[in-house]
Amino acid sequence: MTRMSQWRGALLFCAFNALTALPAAAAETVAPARSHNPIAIGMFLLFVASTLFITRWAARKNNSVSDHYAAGGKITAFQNGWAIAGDYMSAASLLGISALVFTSGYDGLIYSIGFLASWPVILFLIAEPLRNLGRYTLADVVSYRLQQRPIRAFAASSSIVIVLLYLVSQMVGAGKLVELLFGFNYTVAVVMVGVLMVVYVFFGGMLATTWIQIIKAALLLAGAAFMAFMVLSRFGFSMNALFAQAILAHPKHAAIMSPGGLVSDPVSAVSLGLALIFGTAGLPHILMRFFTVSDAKAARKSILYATGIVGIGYALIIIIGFGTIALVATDPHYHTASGAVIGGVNMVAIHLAHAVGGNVFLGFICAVAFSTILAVVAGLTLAGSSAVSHDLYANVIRRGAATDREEMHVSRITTLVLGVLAILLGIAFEKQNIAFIVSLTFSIAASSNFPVLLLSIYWRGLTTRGAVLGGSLGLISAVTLTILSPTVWVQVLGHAHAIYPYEYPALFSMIMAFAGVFFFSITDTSARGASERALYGNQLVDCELGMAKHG
Amino acid sequence: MKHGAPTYSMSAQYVATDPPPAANPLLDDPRFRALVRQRRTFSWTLTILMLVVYFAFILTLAFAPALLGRPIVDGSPATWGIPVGFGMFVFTFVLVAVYVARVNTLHDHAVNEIRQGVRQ
Repeated sequence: MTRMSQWRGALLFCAFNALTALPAAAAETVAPARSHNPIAIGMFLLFVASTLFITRWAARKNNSVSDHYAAGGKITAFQNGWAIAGDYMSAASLLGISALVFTSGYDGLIYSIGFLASWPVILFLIAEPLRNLGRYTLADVVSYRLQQRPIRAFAASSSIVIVLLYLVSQMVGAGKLVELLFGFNYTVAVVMVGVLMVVYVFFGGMLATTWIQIIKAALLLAGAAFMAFMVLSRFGFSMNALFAQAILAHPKHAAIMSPGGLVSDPVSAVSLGLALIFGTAGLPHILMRFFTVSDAKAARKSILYATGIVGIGYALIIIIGFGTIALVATDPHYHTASGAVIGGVNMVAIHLAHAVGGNVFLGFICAVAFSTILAVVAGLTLAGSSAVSHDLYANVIRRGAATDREEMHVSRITTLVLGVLAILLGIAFEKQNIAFIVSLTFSIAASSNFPVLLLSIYWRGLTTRGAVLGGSLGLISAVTLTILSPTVWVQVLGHAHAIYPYEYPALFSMIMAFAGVFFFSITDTSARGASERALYGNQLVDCELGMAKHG
Repeated sequence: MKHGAPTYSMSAQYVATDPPPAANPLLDDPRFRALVRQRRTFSWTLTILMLVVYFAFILTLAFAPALLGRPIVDGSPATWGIPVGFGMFVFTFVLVAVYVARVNTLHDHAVNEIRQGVRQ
């Protein structure tokens, strides 16, 4: 594995959520892109003001645990579709994928395909059973017939690990982005993001979080559509003319129209594909969205809307990416004296916004980019606090005896704690190379939460012992293999050779998890194990008919 | 399929019961068994279809990238990779739409019938 392909691998996952690539990009920066752009700051303040207004409105309706975790189940399928799309089309997608197209052309398209492909799988296998069997967290589903305390302790711990890792990557990304876009100090930016996300979740709960996500998704899609339209209008609405100009402008010329080295190694390619597709199905802040709608049918329809919106969004972003090659790459305005892109390659979409829409549109896109981070961290915080309050506190510690009031109280305290933790971790990791964190997050989700969730729904033979031991095995192997991989062992820890030669652990850690769950379940001869298998039939009825909560 | 906001009563499902409750009589209902069989076959078929198409795409990139790098028309900039790539978006959406359309009509209908039976 060459260094080049390692770098590509790192960039690929960065695109994931964006902004983790910024540390690398920032290294080549001379100065922040635009210090104190007043229009950008004005639009950003307008967005923050309207989200605080929404939070105040939502806070009045936030009266019970069900309201707080799941917006009372009153979100419609159409609204939820936009909210899910919002979770997906982050600043990451816009900045990261267009940057990937800018540097490698076609490879940017490959990446976004993997991202979208996770949705059908979630829909076909997970979404409806999740809605029918659970209330607020995925632990509700897996603990349906398993022993409450151990399985909830496992699912909550693994969810909290995922949420914390994801939060770190978002906080660092947010800090770097705000530093570049608005010219604020990094620490100030991280504290600001932390405080805002706590306010949204603490007062507004799921209702506020959902509406902030919806508005942001609509703004992002509108911005992307305008940008893609303006790019195409420069080329007489001919894709071929756009491609021709891009080939002319790009140093790799015609090579940008064909797959490059992104997936040169089949094991890494398959591993990455697995992490992308199944990791999403194990992310607590994504799964949580299915509890906000009234029934399985609404959950199903919301994925249809989300897939349509996200698909269109990605298509627009690919056009934007080729637009950056055609219009930004050749324009000296957007380059430093040494020829590097001002602010690093992650800023090319921002420069394109300026090229096609002037200062006002630039301000709009900056504000949208930052608001996407706010919306995602709010969702993560809510997912983390519900894992602590609903699973660990109410069911593990209080054994189901906690009142709604107490549970809500603990949830809010957890929100504050998560906010403080996120700020501290964000500051601590400022100078670290955290490109591996996002890949690790998805790999853990694919190897711990996902196998346990899938098998609890589809395999009668699953027992508590198998789920807890096998799931933990998946979590541990995903972490261990990531540490031993080139990205961490060589690039972060500075060793000469990686012990585990591939970029992504998912292929092996998922096999370990499934094999572990299977082995420890079939060798479980306890009476409790037998009764858990016997309960599968009743679970199946609730899973298919969704009557548990209605009849 | 009309029920307003779910009313979350603390049902037996959240309390570990020992010994287990009697098996639901629906499990022996041929309509229920047929529903489960059909749904699972349909869901897993579509899942496998999605995975096969996706990994076929990924492995083509890994083993035969030149295949997607050929121009559609000689001399024009667009390669086969472009329609195939955008085609993957369309395929993903179509698969989701097919699933939703079928489950909304056929399966929801069967579920409602069984539920009516239970309520009577």
